[in-house]
Amino acid sequence: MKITKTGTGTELCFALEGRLDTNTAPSLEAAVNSSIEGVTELTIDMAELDYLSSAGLRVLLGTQKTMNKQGKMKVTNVNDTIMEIFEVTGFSEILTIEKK
Amino acid sequence: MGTVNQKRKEAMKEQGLSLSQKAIADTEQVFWGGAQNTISLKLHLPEGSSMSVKEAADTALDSADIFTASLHRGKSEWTLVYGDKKKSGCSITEERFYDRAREYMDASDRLSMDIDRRLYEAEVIPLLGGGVFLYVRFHHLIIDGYGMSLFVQRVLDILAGKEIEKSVFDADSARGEAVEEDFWRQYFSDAEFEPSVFPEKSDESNMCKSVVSVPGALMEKITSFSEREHCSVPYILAAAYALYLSEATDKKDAVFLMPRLNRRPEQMDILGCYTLLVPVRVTVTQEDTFLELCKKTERAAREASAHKRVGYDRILSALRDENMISEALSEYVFNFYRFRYQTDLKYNVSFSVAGDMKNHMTLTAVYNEKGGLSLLLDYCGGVYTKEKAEDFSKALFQILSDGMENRTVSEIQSIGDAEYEKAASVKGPSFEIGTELTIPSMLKCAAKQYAEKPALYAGNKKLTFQELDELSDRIAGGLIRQGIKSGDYVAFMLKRDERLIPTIFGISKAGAAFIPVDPAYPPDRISYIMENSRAVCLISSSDVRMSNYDSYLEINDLIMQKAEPGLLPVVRQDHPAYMIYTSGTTGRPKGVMLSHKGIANIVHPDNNPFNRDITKNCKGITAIGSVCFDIFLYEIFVPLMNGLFVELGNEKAMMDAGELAEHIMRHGADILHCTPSRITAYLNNPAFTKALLNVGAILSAGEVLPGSLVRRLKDTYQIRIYNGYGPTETTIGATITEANDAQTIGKPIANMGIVLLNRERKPVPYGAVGEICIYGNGVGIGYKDRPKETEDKYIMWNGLRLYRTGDLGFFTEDGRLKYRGRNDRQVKLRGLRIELSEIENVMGEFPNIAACCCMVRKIEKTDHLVGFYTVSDQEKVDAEELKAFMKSRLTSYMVPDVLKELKEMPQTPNGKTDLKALGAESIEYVRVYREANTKKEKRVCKIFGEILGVPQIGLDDNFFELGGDSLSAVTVMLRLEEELGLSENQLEYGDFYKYPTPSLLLEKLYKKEKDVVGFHLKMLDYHGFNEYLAAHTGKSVSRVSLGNVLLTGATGYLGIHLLIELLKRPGICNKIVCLARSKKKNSAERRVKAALFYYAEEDFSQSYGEKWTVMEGDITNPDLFSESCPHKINTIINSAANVAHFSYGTALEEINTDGVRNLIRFAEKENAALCQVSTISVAGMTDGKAEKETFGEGDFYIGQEISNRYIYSKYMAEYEMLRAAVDRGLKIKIMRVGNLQGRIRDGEFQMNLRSNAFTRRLSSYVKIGAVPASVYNGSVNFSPVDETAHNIVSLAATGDEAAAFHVYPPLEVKFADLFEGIRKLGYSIDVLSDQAFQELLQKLRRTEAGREQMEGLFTDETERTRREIVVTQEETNRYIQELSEGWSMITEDYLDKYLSALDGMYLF
Repeated sequence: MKITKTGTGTELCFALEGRLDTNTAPSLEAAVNSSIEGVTELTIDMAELDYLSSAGLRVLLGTQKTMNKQGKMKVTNVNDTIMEIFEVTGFSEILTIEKK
Repeated sequence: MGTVNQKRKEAMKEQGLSLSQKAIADTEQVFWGGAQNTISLKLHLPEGSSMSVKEAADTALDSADIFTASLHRGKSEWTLVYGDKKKSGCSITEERFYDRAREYMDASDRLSMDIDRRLYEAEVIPLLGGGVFLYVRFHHLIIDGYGMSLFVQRVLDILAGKEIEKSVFDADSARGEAVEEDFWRQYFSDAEFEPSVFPEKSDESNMCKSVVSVPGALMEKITSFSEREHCSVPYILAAAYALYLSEATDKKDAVFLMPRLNRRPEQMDILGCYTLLVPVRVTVTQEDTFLELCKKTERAAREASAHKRVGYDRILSALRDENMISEALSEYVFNFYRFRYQTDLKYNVSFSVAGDMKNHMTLTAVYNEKGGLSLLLDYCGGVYTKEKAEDFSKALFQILSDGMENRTVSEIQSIGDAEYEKAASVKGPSFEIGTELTIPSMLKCAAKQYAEKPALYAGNKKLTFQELDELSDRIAGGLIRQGIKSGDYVAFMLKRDERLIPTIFGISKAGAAFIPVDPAYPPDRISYIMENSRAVCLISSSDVRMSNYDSYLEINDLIMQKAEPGLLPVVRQDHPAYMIYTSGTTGRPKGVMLSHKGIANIVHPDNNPFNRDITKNCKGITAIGSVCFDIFLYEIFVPLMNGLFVELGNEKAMMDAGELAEHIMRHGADILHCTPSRITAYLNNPAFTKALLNVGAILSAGEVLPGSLVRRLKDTYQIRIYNGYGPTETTIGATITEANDAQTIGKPIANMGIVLLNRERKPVPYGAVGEICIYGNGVGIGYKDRPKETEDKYIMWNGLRLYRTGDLGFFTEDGRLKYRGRNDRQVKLRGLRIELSEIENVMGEFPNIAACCCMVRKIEKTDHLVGFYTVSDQEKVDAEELKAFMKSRLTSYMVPDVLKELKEMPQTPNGKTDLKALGAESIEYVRVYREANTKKEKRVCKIFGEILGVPQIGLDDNFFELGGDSLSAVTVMLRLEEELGLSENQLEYGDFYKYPTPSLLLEKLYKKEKDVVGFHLKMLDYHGFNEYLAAHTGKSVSRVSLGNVLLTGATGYLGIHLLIELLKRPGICNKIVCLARSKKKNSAERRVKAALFYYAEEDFSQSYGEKWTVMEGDITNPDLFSESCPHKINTIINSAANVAHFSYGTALEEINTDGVRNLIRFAEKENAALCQVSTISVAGMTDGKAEKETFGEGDFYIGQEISNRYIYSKYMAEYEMLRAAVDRGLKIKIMRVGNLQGRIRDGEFQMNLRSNAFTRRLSSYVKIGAVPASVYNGSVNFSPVDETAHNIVSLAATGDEAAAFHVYPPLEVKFADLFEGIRKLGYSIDVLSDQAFQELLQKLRRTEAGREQMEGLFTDETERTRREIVVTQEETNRYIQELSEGWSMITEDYLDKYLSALDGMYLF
C-alpha cells in the first residue's frame, strides 16, 4: 500500500493506495502516529484504496479515537464496496465519511 | 247532462291502476299526508263570466269518466271506482282582485288533498275589475300535464260553443318485458354522473317557484337555430340542461328525468294519467358542437322514451341491483309542454305542481301566449335559494346564447357572468407584505425587538431571541465557509434538540433553501431525497443514527464557527426558502419548492384569526409537528417572528401524551397544534388533560374536526380551537376557520384566494363541488425536477397562478369552504395520506401480476385498503407472498389488508379499470376467530374492538390488519394501562408492532404466568423420519469429493469462511459457484471479494473465473439465479440465513424456510446433495414432557417445544429437507452449529458484530458493569467460525451414510473466564446475586439510557418452567475422529485475542 501525506500544520491528509490490511496497517499507524501531534483536521483519502480488511479497519478506528481528543477526522472518496463494510460494521455511524 | 249521469250510473265499474298511476300511488304512500302529487291549472279568462265558465268547467268535467273516479285503498292494492259517487262539480268563490286571487290559488296549491274524499277540486274565482280565473286542482292519479292541457282545450272549446266528445279512460297496466331492464342497464353502462349539483340539502323540502321568460333576443336565436338546423326547441333546451348538469357536477354524463307520455295515438285525446318518468342520459364531450349535443340529447331522450314502459321503479331497482347507482338517479327533472291551444278567446294558463319537492329542481318549459318560452322553476327550498335558482336560469341562458352560435362545449361558458364573478372572487383580506421580509430578515427584526425574551426551550436548554440569532449566524458563517451559496439546497437530519431550529435559520441566512430529513426515514428515502434534491450537503450529527449517507457536516462544528455578518448574502423574497418531500404519484416522493414570500405572508400577525389570537393572547407554543411536514414551520415561524417562544417537543412528546403534558407545563406554553384524532386519544390521559387547562388556543389540521371535540375543548377547557387547511404546495395554509366552526375549513387567509374548478377548468356553480384551486402569495415555486407535474398542478387561470390541490370542496352561502375529499387516487386512511397508485406500482412489480388496482373499502365499519389483482397466463401468485413482498417495500399502513385475485380486471368500454365494478366485488377479510376466555383476554379484546370499531375481536386478530394505526395504538396503550393497571414502561409503543394480537400482547405482558405459546410441531407429518434417521446413523465413514459446489450466503460470516475453506483445500471440490445478491451499486462478485479480503486479506482473484465464480441471485427467488448456473452442481451448501431472532414480517420464513424449499427443488433437478447449515437450537425446550431427554444426530421431533420464530424457521427447513429425503430420496446433510464465535486463528469476529445476540449480551453486561451469578458461574457453547467451517466442509465431503451432524466443540467456555478477559481490558464487572441483578435491571428499565445499556439482555428471557433439551454429538465426534479432524482448545490466549478484537471494534 502506498501512503501519501500532504498538508501542513494542523491539516493533514493521508492518501491510501492499494490494500489496507494486517501487513500495511502498521505502516499507516506509524505514519499517523509520527505526525499527528497538533493536527486538528485529519483526512484519510481512500480514492485509490481497493480493499480494506478487519485489521485495516481497526487502525482507522484507533486513529479516530486519537482524533476525537484533538480535532476532526474524515474519510473521503470511499468506494462502494468499502462503504458497504463501513455500513455492515456499523462504522458508518462512528466515522465521518464522504463517498466517492 | 241527464243522459251523461244516467250512463255513469249504469257504467259503475272498478278498475286497477295503470302503470303511471301506480308509480304515483307509490310515492303517495311514501310521503303520506302532505300535499303530494297534486297538480293545478290556473286559467285566466279576462273576458269570461263566472257562470259561463262554471258551466263550461262542469261540462268538461262531465265529459270524462276519469272525473267520476274515487279511490279505494285496499289492503293489497289501490283501485279506482268510476261513477259510484256524486261528483263535486265546480263552485264559485267570492270576488277577488287579480293579485289576491293569485295569492289565494298559490296558498291553496300547498294544501293537502283528502284523497279518500275527492281527487279534484274546481273553482271559479270572479275578479274585481272583470274576468275570472278557473282554478282546478287535480290529484295526479287522475290526470297528467298533457291531460290538463286537454281539459283546458275542452273548456275553451265549450266556451266557444264547440261540441266535445266523451272521454273514456283505459287504465293500461301492462309493463314492458323484463328484457327492458337489460336495456336500462345497457343504457347506463359506463355512465359517470352525479345525481345532484349541490352536495348539501337541509331538512326543508318545501317547494319554491319562480318563472322566467326566455329573453326575446335569445328566443329569436333559438327559433332560427331550430329552423335552420332542424332541431326542435325542447331538445335545444334539454341539451342546455344536460350541458349545465355535466359541467356543474364535473361528470362526463348528465342524467335528468323527463316525464314522457305513454299514450298510443288513439289515446291522445283521452283525459287521464298516462305519463311515465324516464331517465335520460346524455354524454357531454368537450369537442361536441352545441348542435351535435342537441342531436345527441334528442337521440338519448327518444331511446329512453321507447323503453319507458318498464316503469321508473323497475329501472331504479335494476340499476341498484347492479350497483350502478346507490340512491337517486337524478335530482333534476326536465319537462316541456308543447301543447298549443286552439282558440280565439283571450286567455292565459299556467300549471303548477304542488306539495313537497321530492327532487331538487324541476324545469318546465311552456310556450306562453306571446309565442315565447317561459321557464317554470320548481325547486326544493332546502337546496336552492331564490338567488341560486336565478343563477340557474341565467346559466341556462348563458349556455343557450353561447350554444346558438354553435360553439363547441369547451367554448361554452356554463354559468352566468355574475355567478362566474362570484365564484372567482372568494379570497381573504388583501394587504401589503413588505418585499424585504424573508426568514432571515424577520428573525433579525424579532431579535432586535425581543432580544432578551426567551425564544426557544429544548430539553433543559434555553435560547433568547438574541442567542438564537447569534447561533444561527454562526451556523450560516460555517456554511458559507463551506462554500454554500445563495440558491443552494442544504438538507438537515437532526434530533429534536436545541440545535434544530438554529440550523433552519442558519441555512436560510446562508442564502440556501433547507430540506428537512427525518432520521427515522428508511435509508432508501433518505438517499433518494439527497440525490433528487441535489442538496449540496447534509447537516447532521454523530448522535443521529444513519446507515447510508455520503457525508455530513457536523452541526456541533458549525455551531462553533464564527459568524460572518459581512459575508451573508442578500436573500430575496422570491428565492427558494425550503423544500419539502411529499408522497408522489410515481411512487417516489416529490420535492415541493417554496419561497420566502409565502412564509412572510403566513407569519403576519393579521394573516388569519389564529395568528391574531395567539399574538394577542398567548405566550408560546409546544411544537410537536414532524420536522418533515410544513406544519412544523408554522409551529416555529409564527411564534418566533412575533415574539412568542417555542417549546420544542422531543421525539417522545410527538407520540406520548404524558410527555407532551410535561412539555406544556415546563414553561407554560399555551398554544398547541394537533390533529383531532391525536387530541381525542390524549384526552384519556389525566396528565394531559391537566396540562390542557393551561392551553389557550389549539390549531387543528390534517383531518375533519369533529364538532363533539370542539364542544368538549371549549366547554371543559375554555380552549379556542381553529381548523386549518392547506397543501404543502401553497406554503402550509390556505384557509382557516375561526374558533368553534367545526363544519367547514373556513375562509381563505390573507392574500390568498380559492376558486373551485371542474376538470375543464371552468368554475363550478357557486355551492357546487369543484377542485379546490388556490392562488395568492403562498403559491410555491413547483416540484423539483418535475416540470411536467409542475405544469400540470400549477396553472395560469384568468391571469392568476393557481395550484390545483386535487382536493374537492364547495362553498357555503357565507363563503366558507367545505372539504369533500380527494379527486384523484390519493386517499386519506385514518389520517394518513395514501397515494393508491404508489401501492399499485409496488404491487405491479411482483412477478406474474398482470393487472392490479387498490381502493379503500369498508369492512365492518372500518375502512380497509383492498388490493385486487390478476395473474399472468398460466402463472400463479401466492397472496401471502405478495403481501410479504409489499410489506417489505411499503410502510405497514400502505399494505392492503385484503388481497383478492380476480380472473380478469373489470374494465369500462374505454379501457379503464372499472372502479365501480370493483367497488361491488365481494371481499372478505379472512381471519380466524379465537374466542377470548379469561377476564384479561376479554378486556384486551374489548379494548381492541372499541378502538378499531370492529365488533368481535378474537385473540389472534392482528391490530394492524384490522385497521389499527399509530394513533389508535396510542389510544389502546393508554386504555390498557388504565384498565389492566399496568405500571409505566410495562408496555412500550413498539410492542404493538412486535405483539400485534391480543394473545401476543398478553403473552408479552404476563409471560411469567403463562406457558409460552409455541409452534405446533406436533401437527406435522413425520412418517418415515425415524426410520430414515436410524438408517443414517452408526455407519462407517467414506470420503467423497464434493464435485461442483453451489455455496449460498457467501458474504456472511460463516459463508465466507466456508468459501475460504473450499478455496484453500484443493481437491475437496471441483468448481465453486457462489450465489450472492448485489446490493445498491455493488455487484455480487464485488461484494464477495470485498468480504473475502476483509476476513482473509486475499481476494483469490487469480483463481476467479476458473476455480470459482460468483453468480447474481437470491434463494428467495424460485429460479435462484438471475442467469443460468454455469456448471452442473453436485453439492449445495446453504449458509444463507436470516438470523434476526425478533422481527415483524415474513423475512425469516422467506429466507430460512422458503429459500430452502427453492434449493430443494434445484437440488432435485440437478440430482445434487443439499447440505444445510442449521442450528442446534432446533432441539428446542421441554417442560419435562418430551419423549427424550437428549437430542442426538438421529433425532428430529422428540416432543420438543419451539417458541422462537427464527428457530422455528430453521426447524421447518430441516423438516422440508427430511420430507424430501424420505419421500423422494433427496441426498441431504444437516449441519447443526452452535454459537459461532471468533476465529481460532486470531480471534477475528464477524463484521456485523452488533447484530450478534451473544456479543450484544456481553456488551450489555459490560455497559451495566454487572453480571448475575447464575450466568457468571455457567458456561456457553463457543464455536470458532474457522474451525466450524473447516469441519462442515470435511463432513460434507463424506458419503451419504449420515444425514445430520452437530458441529461444535465438545467443551464449553466458562463465563468466568470470559469476564476475566474483559476485566483485563480495563472494564469492571461486578458479580451480583440474581435477585440484586434483577433489581438493578428494574431500575435501569425506567430510564432511556438504562434501557439502552441493557438492550442486549432483552432477548435473554429466563424460563422457569422449561429447560433446554440437552444436545449430544456422539455421531459427529466419531466422524470427526475418523476423518482425523478435531477441535482446538479454547485457551486464555485465544479469548484475549477474541475480546480485544471486539473491543477494537468499539463493542463495549
